[in-house]
Amino acid sequence: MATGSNFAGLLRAGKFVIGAEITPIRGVSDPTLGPKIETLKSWVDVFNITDNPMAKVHLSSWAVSLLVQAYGVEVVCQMTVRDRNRLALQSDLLGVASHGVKNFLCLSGDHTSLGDQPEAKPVYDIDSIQWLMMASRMRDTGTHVNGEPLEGALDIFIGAVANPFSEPFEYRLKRFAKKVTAGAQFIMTQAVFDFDLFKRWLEGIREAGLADSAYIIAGLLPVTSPQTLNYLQKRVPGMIVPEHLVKRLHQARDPEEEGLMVTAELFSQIRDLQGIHGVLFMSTKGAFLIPEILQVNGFNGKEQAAPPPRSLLSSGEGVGS
Amino acid sequence: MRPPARLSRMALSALTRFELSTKGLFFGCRGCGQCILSFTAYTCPMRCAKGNRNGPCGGVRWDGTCEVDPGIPCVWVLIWHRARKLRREKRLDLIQPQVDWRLVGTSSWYNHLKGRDAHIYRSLKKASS
Repeated sequence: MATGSNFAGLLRAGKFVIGAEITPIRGVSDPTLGPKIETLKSWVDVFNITDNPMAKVHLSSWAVSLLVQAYGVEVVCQMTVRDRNRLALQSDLLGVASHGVKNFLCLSGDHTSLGDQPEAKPVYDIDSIQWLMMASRMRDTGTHVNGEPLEGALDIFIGAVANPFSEPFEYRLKRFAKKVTAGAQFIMTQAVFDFDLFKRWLEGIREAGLADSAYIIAGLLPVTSPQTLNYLQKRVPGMIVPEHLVKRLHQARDPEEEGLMVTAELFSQIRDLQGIHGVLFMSTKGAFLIPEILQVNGFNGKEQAAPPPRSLLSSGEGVGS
Repeated sequence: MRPPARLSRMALSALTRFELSTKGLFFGCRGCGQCILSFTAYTCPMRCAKGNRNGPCGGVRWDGTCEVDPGIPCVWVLIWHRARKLRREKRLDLIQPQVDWRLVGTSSWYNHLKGRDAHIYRSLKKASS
């Protein structure tokens, strides 16, 4: 399945995949997009294109997916059920797939009331699991929801998100299993700051026998200022930022350098975990840090031989311990 | 099989009002017309701001409150705790199919009698087989 996806191929080959999130701009043309992709191209295997993040209007994810893809890189097109009903979701999925996009991430999306137009009608015709099921069924059976044949083969690699840092913690494992049953082939997680909690979640996944059911990719958010970290800790629902990290960034003489170190340490810890198949850098602003974070961890750009785990950093004290 | 129920328009309206008001009182029912309360520990998942019928979104705050309104608990946190108390967690493993929006605001009891919520049971049967 999903034979055309390079991303799937890399995961299947056992490579530790590096992803970077691209947040589309809030306008029409983005002169920084090209240079950004060109710089990151040699470090990053796949670019995630977000779909109206924080429920604010951005350039649409499918359009930016096509733009980014034109640079010869692989993209994951994110599609939320917040802004589209099932008809629009399906036709957009087919539309993007017809342009050769192979990877999709099905999610529910931040609620409209958190965005810049809170008076808008949230759609939520179907939920994220039903969306996953719909997409995977269209691919697997080659038919529409009503059973009519789909013209041409839909060759896509489907993913979902998981948040290990949100209540009810025990139910999160069941929800993971549900998403896999519904057709998720890869799972991308919320940004990891609390490594211990993440590790415990992963152990839960392993104990439930789910570790091999989907490729798990951990989210990582490079933060370079204590204010941003504070904001994430206090204001962003579903995110847990341990106090000691905030303190560390506050006390640092050079917060940017310290933020880079924190992220690099987290990266190294995550890479040493069994059952994690990659990392997704979840900040467009912090994207310029990606090469450095990877270098610190022993990567040297594309075609690098995978560096041995436990690189220079992890000999020191870890972030979460 | 069940005999097809026939109700006058007035009787149906009375039944619908009775169902929505009593279930609203006891279970927080939102009248989707295709009831899954028996799968969700008798707590209506349609209270979720995103209408999630398959579990909590990733926006639940650390204290178990909703991403939309920090003043109210996430309904899926309530469902989970209640399901554990009632030993009905297994029922949360089932994938609930898409809502048939034609049924919203109608009587789920009558719809059940008429087999209009068959999509729920069909997909659950498929899941368990």
